[in-house]
Amino acid sequence: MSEEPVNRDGGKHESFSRLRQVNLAITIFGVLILATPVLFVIAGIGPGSDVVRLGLAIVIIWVCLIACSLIFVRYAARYGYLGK
Amino acid sequence: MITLNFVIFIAAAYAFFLFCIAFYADSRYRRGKGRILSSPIIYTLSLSVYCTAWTFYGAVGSAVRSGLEFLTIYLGPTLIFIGWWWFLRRLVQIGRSEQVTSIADLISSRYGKSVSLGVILTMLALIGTTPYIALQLQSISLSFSVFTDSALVGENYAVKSSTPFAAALGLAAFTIMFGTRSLNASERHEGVVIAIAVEALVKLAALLIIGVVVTVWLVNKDGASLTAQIEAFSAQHSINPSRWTVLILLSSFAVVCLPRMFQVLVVENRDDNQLAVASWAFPSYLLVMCLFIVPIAMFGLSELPASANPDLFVLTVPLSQGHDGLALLAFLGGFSSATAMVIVAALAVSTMMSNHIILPLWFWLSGMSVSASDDLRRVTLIGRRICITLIIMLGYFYFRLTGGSDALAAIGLIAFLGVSQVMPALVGGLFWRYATRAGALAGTLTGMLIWGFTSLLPGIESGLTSSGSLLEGGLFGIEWLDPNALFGVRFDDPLVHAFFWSIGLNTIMFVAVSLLTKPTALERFQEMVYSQSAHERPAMRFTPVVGSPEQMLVLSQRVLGRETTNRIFKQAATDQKSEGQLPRLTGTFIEQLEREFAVVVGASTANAMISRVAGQRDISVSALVAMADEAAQILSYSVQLREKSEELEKTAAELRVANMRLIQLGEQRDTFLSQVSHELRTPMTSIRSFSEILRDSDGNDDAQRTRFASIINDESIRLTKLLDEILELSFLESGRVRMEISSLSLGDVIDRAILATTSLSSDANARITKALHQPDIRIETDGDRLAQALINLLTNAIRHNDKSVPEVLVSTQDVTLQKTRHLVITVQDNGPGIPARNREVIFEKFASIPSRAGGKGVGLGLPITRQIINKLDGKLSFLSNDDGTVFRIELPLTLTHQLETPADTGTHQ
Repeated sequence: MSEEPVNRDGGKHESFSRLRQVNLAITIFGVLILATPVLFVIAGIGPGSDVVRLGLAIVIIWVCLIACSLIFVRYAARYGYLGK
Repeated sequence: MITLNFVIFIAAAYAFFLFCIAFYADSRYRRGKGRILSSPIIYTLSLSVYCTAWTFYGAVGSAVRSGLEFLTIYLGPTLIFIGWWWFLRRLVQIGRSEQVTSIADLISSRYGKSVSLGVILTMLALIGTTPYIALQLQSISLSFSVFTDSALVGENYAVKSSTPFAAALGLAAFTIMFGTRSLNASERHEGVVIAIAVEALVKLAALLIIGVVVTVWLVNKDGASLTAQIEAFSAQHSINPSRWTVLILLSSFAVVCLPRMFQVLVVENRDDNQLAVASWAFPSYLLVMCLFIVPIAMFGLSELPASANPDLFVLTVPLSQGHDGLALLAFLGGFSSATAMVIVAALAVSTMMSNHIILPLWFWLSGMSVSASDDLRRVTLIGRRICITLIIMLGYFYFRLTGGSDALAAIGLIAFLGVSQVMPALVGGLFWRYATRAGALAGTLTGMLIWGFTSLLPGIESGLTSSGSLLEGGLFGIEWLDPNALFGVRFDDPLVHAFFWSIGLNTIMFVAVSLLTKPTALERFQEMVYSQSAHERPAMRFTPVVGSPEQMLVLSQRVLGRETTNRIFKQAATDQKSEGQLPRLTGTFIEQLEREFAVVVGASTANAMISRVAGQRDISVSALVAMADEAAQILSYSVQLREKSEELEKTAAELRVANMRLIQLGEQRDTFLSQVSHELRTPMTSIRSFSEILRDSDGNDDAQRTRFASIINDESIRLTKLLDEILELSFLESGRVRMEISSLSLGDVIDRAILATTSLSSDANARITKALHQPDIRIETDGDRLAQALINLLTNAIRHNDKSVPEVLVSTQDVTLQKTRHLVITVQDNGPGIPARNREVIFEKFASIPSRAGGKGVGLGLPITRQIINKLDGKLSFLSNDDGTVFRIELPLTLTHQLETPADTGTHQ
């Protein structure tokens, strides 16, 4: 992505909208994976099943989400959406 | 073995250390050296106030009882901080721009600075926080009791000892000292924040070190035993998907709505960058916090007696292994978690109580007399300090009342659900323009009632009474009022049941009542303020005020203090160019003053106070019209932007066309140069060859030398002619040729052209006929140039004609083209015509087209002719077929003057 001027008002709606879409995508991904039974289907977890596998799956997803967030806020800063 | 006295000494020393840290940070800030406090890392660490003793100790207990369910309490905030970043960003931006003092302040301010909404939200926060503080005091007490009997923790000791009371007093003193140093509630509490950050590090380090050590112990056990433990742990617990989802939702709501979290997240925030770092650093902190929970739980289960309290495994596991130092570290971690929560929660709720309950009540009781000389600042400060003491003591008494029973263990989730009732009004207020105060009130009250009935009441009743007879079979025996199966709907988990009904009905009521009611003008205005960023904030306009500047000065001095008031009034008077000392009470000034008041007493109280002096300050019709004007201006600006955008697009398209034209011209120039070189090369080669023959061959006879010299001469003439034509075309194209316009006879011009081609026509046995539609036509033109054009056309007509007697007719007509009269000169021949494939290029330079008659020129005649006609404002076109070609010259009649004379027809041969 190229460097853009960081004026908060001028010509930024496109990138602003793009950033919001990315954030929304991360939310949907995170909620779907972690907060719904999708998690249990993926991890093959049911009553009395493998806790270690579920724990590892959650930690891996957790780390991925943190990485997504780290990249996301860097771009938000580059687009000039962090202010006083 | 560590003695209890030693632990008490360590706790006291640690508390003293925190006092010193807070004091140092406060003094640095007062000296203007508070830069470190703006650090995003400090901000992130202060957010760890989310992790209370309930999570520090209780997570292991929860893992023992429910497996991985404890993770949900950490996953909810993770999802909010990562996924709802825009929401948090909007929240902190509004918090900064509106100088929000608490979550109740933000919501009541959004809904028209509603006092009633502020009171309800404050009560909700108090009800949700009190048991939570009790839980922290219990954990402190229990952690002390561990050092009296490491094998079994006795609850009686925990309750009866004076430790919780001493801890409560110490925490109250700390909070008062560093939390109410300044009256400015939105001002950051540097001392508190830095102390919380240090505590965050201590609890993280404690849990990490203990976790690593315990994991090493676990791994060093024999493999079979470890596998068996994991399998046993896995088999014990099943996960309830609906409870899992609800817990994640609940914790994600709570991380925003808990008063203490709102305090550190919004009120203590300084810029977006802090939030940006927190969005990944805080989830990372939470991840590290729960990495070693399961190993500690598994080790505790295998090594400690079954009677041991799993909530204290973090403490008792190191003690059981004889590692007193680790146990002490764990104690400090737990102590940090508990004290941080109590301090920030007390601070946040006391601000809410002071601004939304005590001050309005005090005003009401004192009749809001503005002439009184009481210093309101002092009242507010004392009120806030009393509130802090009251809140912490309420927590202590709740702890004593419930006897430290197991009811407290579940109170964390109950408190989460309680404060989450704020969420629909909060989200709706920020993102839904049709949300109204009535809707927010209805939704929040409904949610509170349902939460109290389905969640809080059963918890309290089971803690207070052994039989729970009041709610047995439904309230007063009414079956559909069963707190575990409201309206006859039963869920497999009481928390899911309570969440479903309280949040569900809360949201439905909020939306329905908002749709059925209309927002007031002030609500509309606040909605505009909240939906726009600070720099786009519209200016508020008020109806004319009824009070005097003197009254406002007195009120302001009571709220803001003499010094601040004098500075604000002086600045306003200067800005208004006011002649006197006091400024006029204009809408802008009143609005500024109200914002300053809101920092101290909250938005709704500030609004009520200002109204007392300035009159009922509903927004006037003129103000609404002005707001509409602003909207219209924005719309107009948008239209202008669109027009400018279209204009830019059009210019870009024109530039694209111009660019294409430039490229074409460049290509044409290259082609032209190539053709010129080629045309020059042919005669030059011929001249060079024959001149070399003449030079080198002595034996040639005179006749041959003459022939060669003639060829050289002819080629030189051709070369000169070619160069002349190129030069002329260049002049014509560059526009450097000046037409010599004069009035002359068209017949004479044609005759001159015919005469110039006499030699050619004689050689070709051609016959040229002139047919003028009028005998003498006077024309204002450049005769030489027009004659030159005609000569070119006549030459082509004869040279490219294959007939034995080539015939050329030059005629004139008077026609009307596009309502304008034109003179048309046609040159028609009876030649073979121009081949169809070449018709499109005959006006191109060097388009030397070999005719069927065998004639061939350089290819500059027609381009020159067309340039000449264009310069004379005319147009040159042609028609051609197998029977001949007609060239047509159109000249506008405006340059012509006709003379009424008899027609003339003549033939030249």
